[in-house]
Amino acid sequence: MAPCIWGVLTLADNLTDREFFSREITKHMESLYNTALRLSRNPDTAEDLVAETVSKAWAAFAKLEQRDRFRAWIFRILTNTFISSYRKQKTEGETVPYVEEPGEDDDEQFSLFESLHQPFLLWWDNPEQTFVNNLLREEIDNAINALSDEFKTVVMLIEVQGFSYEETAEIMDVPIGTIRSRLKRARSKLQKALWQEAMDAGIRPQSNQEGISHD
Amino acid sequence: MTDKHDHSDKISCEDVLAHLIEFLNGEVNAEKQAQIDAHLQTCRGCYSRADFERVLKKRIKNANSEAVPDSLKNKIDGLLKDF
Repeated sequence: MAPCIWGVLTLADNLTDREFFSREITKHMESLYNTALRLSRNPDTAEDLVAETVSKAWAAFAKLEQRDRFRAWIFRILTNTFISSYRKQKTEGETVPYVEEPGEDDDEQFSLFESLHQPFLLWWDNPEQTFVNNLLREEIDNAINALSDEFKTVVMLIEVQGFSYEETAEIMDVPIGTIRSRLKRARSKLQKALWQEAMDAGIRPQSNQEGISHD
Repeated sequence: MTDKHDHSDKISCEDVLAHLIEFLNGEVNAEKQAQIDAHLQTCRGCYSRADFERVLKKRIKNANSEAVPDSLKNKIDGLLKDF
């Protein structure tokens, strides 16, 4: 007899802890690895970070009361493990500090769109779309990697993994207002870095139009 | 975005831009979402901005989609068997 939908749900609910855990780990492996890779910037370290996260998660699994929150829960373990065990290792020889809320700066207001949205360019093309479509993967990687860990984490959790602001606040253990602020500033820094990379690569739209000032 | 389009959707371009990222992330309430949706259908400037941010967001997301190495798969399989 073919199982009805309720039968399937019941079957899923009846998974043993080990079966449920294994299924969830398999489902989220790529997300965990990509986040670990971005945070550590080293494939070997990312593997170790994911493996340690999985071990810690299994050891603590009995304490997870709401299984539907598994994904946010294991990402919290991943980010905490990175901070406690791997960030120091990664930053030996380089400095990408995990600092709490530096003061406001000009970066918060930077908009790539507005920098590209030059009225004199509109008659020949759509410069914003052209720019974003022509971005190289390497340029995006560089811009993300240039972010401090706090900003990179919020970008990875919200923009890449699709967590809600509330879930991200829980994962990073900060108020939701801090998440909003961090994301706003992270996006600004990211866009400024992309703009700078474009400028470094020689994309200087104003140089094509003499006499037009862009302050 | 300071154009002369009809503002009958009851939300200004400034208000749309102030909430644009939260809108794209699904973090605005239903009323605000409907207002912004309606606005984007009538305002070319804000639509362009939203489209730009949407495409950039997608490019950033796609830059983080490395395949899981077999070595990690094997490592995790080993762990799961031992649990």
